Amino acid sequence: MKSHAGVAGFFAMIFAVSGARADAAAVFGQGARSAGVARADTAGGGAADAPRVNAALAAEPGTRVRIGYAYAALGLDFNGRDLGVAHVSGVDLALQGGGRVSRDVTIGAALAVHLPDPYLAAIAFRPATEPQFVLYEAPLRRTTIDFVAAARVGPVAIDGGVAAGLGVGGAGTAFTLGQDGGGTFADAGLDVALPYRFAPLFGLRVALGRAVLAASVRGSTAIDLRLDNAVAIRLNDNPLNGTTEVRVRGSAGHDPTTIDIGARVAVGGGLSLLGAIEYAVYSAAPPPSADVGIDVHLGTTPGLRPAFVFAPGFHDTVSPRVGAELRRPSPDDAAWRWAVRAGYARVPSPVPDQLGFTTFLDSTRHEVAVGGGYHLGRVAGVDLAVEIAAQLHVLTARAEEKPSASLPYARFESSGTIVHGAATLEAAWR
Amino acid sequence: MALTGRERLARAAPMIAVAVAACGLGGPGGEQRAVPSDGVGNFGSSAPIELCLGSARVVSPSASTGAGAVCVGHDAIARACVGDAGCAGIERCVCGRCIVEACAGGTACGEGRVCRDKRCTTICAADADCAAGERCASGGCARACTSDAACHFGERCDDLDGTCVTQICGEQIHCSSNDSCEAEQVLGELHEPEVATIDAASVAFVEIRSGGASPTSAVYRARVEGRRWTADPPTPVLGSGSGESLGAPSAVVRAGRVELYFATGGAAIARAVSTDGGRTFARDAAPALTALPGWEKGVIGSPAAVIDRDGATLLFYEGGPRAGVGLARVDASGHAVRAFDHPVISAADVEDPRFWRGITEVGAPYAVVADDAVRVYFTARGIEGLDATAGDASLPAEANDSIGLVSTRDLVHFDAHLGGPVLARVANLRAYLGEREAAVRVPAGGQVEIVFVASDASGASVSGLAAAP
Repeated sequence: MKSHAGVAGFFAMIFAVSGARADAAAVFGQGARSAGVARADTAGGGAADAPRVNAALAAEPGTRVRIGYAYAALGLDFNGRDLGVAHVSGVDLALQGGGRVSRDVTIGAALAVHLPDPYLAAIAFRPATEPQFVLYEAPLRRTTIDFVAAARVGPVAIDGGVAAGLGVGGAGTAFTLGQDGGGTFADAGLDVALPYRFAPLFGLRVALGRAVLAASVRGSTAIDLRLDNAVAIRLNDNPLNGTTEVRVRGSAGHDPTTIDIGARVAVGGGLSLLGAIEYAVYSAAPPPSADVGIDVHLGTTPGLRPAFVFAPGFHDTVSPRVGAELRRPSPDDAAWRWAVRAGYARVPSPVPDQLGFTTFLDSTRHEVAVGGGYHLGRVAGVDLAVEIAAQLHVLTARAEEKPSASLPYARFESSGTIVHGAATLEAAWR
Repeated sequence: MALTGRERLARAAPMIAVAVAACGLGGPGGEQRAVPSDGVGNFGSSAPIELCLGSARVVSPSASTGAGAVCVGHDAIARACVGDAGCAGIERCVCGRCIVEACAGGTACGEGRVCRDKRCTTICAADADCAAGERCASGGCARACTSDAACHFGERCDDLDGTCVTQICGEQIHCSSNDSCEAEQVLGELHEPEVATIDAASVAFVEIRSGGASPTSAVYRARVEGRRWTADPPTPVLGSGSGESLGAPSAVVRAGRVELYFATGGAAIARAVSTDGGRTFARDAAPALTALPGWEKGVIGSPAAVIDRDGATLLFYEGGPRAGVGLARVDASGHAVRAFDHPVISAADVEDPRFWRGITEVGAPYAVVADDAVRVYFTARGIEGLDATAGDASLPAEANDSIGLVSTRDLVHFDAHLGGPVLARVANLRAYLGEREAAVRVPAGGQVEIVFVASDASGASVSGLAAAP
């Protein structure tokens, strides 16, 4: 009874926390192995992939440490011109450990961290009327931390976990210019908090002989920004004493809740086929632009309108993914020497027709991936393997015309290509 | 102070990132480029345009310092400049050279400056308020000198008290035989700017209204060099010597010809054609369009000609005055035929209870073809702001001129911009300014530029031309 209460408490905790956080791994995959099969590995990832691919993989016995680096060059065009969306790069770290607690039961846990190169997180709110690739700007440049724990009983593994990341909040900035007995003084304060936000992760994996079936659920993530900036002026005989407060509220880089269902089939000769369907709940996405409010209370107080941005009305999407992996001479984790991989995914755009003031840019993305790995074997008692992957993403050309030529960017085209590369080194103690 | 585990991690994370970057894995961190405005709002901040007639800047009477020329020694050489930052001391960059600003007293020199000894200089109370080598004389800084060489361009050394002073000159006041009279200001109000591309160069046409007992207006052509326009030729290309007030130029360029449509005193719109890049024009014998009663009330002006997608010339014009914008089609002979017997833009079309209310005047159209549609920018007078408060009292927002936009893809249905004006400036959060008579250039894929006449909210005080961004 006591253990049941503990499990219930764990799941209650991960359900109770609010959603937040998004990342590059959702687009490219975290680690070269996942990237090499275009993220079709819901049922076929490695144990170190557990936090990002399927949490149930964390129950694999052994200990694994993985470090990788990934770089993506984005060439996203608006009306034939590169919009200059920043390239994405960063370090991927993964740690997984699992052990057998009885003949049929194993448990494990895994942690994955993505550290973008230039920032902990890029928080970008651009004017809602400005053309922007809403899925490829701020969302791809943030630190992410994913933690999962899993248990496997015979062929069935089930798990739960959380994805964690930073938000931005706190009392914000305050500045006071006043006068007292000591004369004129200035007082300034800065209170910016970086609270963690959590999103739930769940996974299920069932091994059925040559086939493996799996499902994974990942909660929505984003960076929530809530900053207040206040200036107070209190000077003797000043007709404009008072306060000015600027409030900024927004949610940057939303990543939607995703539900993945996948399968892996070993067809023989070291060849495995992978397939997955991902359902992404973009319909709950908040506006990618921030609400801004300004309250001025001075001697003369201007009438200012707060700027509120409407929900973007994104569509939910269903993305099919397929992949293949050939490991020789044996597909077994301990006995393979080299591997080659390939994958393809079609990712529809959640962005609806742009009929008003916003010009959100995106289009159906075709993703082709190739990869490979080399198993170095045991070196100083550690099992080492290196993996590489390359991806080409093509955003199909999308042309739109708004109903009125008096709307911003009333006629536009968008398209683009993304080239992504990743390399990882994994050390395992089995 | 003890840290929680979460706080420790938050503090450690930047160090981890720094350590990783230090290992040579740091990648790009550049910020994204801004998207050029497409001309539907978001023009950016504006700056004044300087129009030069020879060495003199055309200055609106409301912005004049009261003096237009200074005596300059024959051997004095001015420093060339692009902006005020390239000049020394109290000199200002006027039409490409550094010179002191002549003045005739009053407060025309602007904030922080004062008119002393016939030129604008730094205000002071003691020598310590002035730059090195200067002294405070009668509340204004002046350079100490023993010869003219120590003075700014436009000053002479006063041998009696050893400071630099300025002598203004003009038709009634002459310089000594050792000096020449250097013009730096010409009074005139700039209106209805037009910017066209002629022979791959940017060329402007603008109306200059001169004041006095019998105000007249004429059309000038100018080379566009950034924010400086230089009249070329320095005399009017239309309206000179005839005694007739001509203005509101609008140009279309076709097959090496410049067709200039212009207003002729209120009753008609005429056309003139140039085959030498707009330096000289031959005026058509008959007007292109003559005012009618009805909504035009016998007054038309502010033509805005544009070549549409089919190669036809469309002519938008103001009727009323400022009662609305009409549309006519121009045939090959230059004769215009009205498309409708009503305005295609009226106050009722623009009125928006939330973003632009109380519209009383609509006019001064400017038409461009962009994105396969015809855009018509116009000037309307109305209120775009909310009321302010002072204590318990309400301060109603001021009506002012602002730039609006309507577009059409079929020349039948005209859609107004839904968010109120596309250009409306505000100073100090609630001081509304006036913008009118816009000209807009929409380069393919590039930054849209708008040029307009800047004024105060009342529209009575015109400060000159401005451009954004």
